[in-house]
Amino acid sequence: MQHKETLFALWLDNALDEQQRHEFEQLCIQDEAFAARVAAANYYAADAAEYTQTAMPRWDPKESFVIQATTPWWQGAWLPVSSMAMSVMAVMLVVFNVQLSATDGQLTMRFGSDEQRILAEVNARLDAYQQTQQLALADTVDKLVDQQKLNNAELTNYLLTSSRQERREDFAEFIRFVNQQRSDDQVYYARQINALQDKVSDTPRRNGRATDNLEYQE
Amino acid sequence: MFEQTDEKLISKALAGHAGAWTKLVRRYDKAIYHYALRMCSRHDDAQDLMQDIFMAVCRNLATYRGDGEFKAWLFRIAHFRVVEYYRRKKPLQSIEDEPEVAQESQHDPDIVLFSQRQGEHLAGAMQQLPLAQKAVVELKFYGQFTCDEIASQLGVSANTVKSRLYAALDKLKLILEAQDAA
Repeated sequence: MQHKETLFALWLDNALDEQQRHEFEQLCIQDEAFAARVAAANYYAADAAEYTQTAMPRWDPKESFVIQATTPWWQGAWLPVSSMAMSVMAVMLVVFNVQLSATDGQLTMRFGSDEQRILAEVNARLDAYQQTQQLALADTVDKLVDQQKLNNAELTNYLLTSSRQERREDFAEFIRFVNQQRSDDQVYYARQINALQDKVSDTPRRNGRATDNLEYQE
Repeated sequence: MFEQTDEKLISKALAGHAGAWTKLVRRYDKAIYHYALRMCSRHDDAQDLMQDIFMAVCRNLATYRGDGEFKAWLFRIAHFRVVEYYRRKKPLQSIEDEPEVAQESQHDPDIVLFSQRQGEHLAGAMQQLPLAQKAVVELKFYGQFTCDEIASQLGVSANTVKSRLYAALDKLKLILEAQDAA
C-alpha cells in the first residue's frame, strides 16, 4: 500500500523514473482500483485546469502594507526640530549680543555691548603696558646703576694706577735729578779741588801770583 | 520587459516601498483569493482571509530568507491562516473532521455553491472533505505543488501528504459518484 501511494504521488509529481514508470504501468494494468484512482486523479487535474476564476473583489493592497517606511536620514523627523532649535538659538545669539572669541586656546563667550568690552580691554592692555614699562624702566635703572658702578670702579682703578705710575716716574725723575746734581756737584767739586790743587801746586812757582789767587778766591 | 523578481520587490517593500508591495501582491492576490474561496466557500470570508494572509505575509516578510520560492512560502502562511479561520469558526472541530457544508449551505445564502459544470466539479466536491485533505487536494491540483513542497507548507511529513491525498481521492470519487447518481 505504501509503495502504491509512493508511486501514485511520484506520478502526480511527474517524477517517475523508468523503473518506477514500468511498475506504475504494471499496477495500472493489474490493479483496477489503482487504475480507477489514477483516472480520477487525471479527471481532477483536468477539472482543476479548467477552473475559471471569478472576478476579484476590489481591494487596495496597500491596506495590507504594515511595514514602517524607513525614511532616509535627511527626511527624518529630527531635521525640522533641529532646524527650529538652531533658528531659535541664532535669534538668541543676536538678541543677547553673544560674542565668541578664542584667545590663547580659550573659548570665551560674552554677552552685552562692545563698549564695555573695549573699555575693559583697553584698561587691561594699559595696565599690562604700564607694568611692562615699569619693569623695563626698573631694569634700565638697574643696568645704569651697574654700569655707573663699573665705570666708577674702572675710573678709580685708572686713577690709582696712573697716579702710582706718575709718582714712580716723578721719583725716578727726582732721583735722576738728584743724581745729576750730585754728579754736577762732584764735577764742580772736582774742578774746585783740581783748581785748588793746581793753585796749591802753582804757589811756589808763582809767589807773586799766589797772593792774587787768594784775593781772587775771596 | 524587465520584470522585477519577487526577491527584488520584497527587498524594496522591506525598505518601505509601498509600490513594490502592491506589485508583489498583485502577482498573487488572485491565486490567494481563489485559494481562500475554495477553502472557505464564502466570498466575504475569502476576501477577509486574503487580506489577513497578505497582512501576515507583510508582517513576516523580514523573516523570508529567500531559500525557497516565495509562492510556496506565501501558500504556507495562507494555509496557517485558513487553519486559524476554521479554528475561530469552530474551535472544537479538528482539521481531520468532516465538514458540515451540506447542512450549512441550505441555511446560509453566502456560501458559494460550485456548479456542476466542467471546471467546478472538483471545487464543489472538495468542500465535503476534511480540512486536512482539502488542503492537500487544493495545493496539489490547483497550486501545482509537489508532495514534498506540500509537506513543507503544511508542516507534515511527505508520507502524511501522500496518505491524505490517497484518502482524499477515494473520498472525492465517492462524492462525485453520489452527485452523478443524484
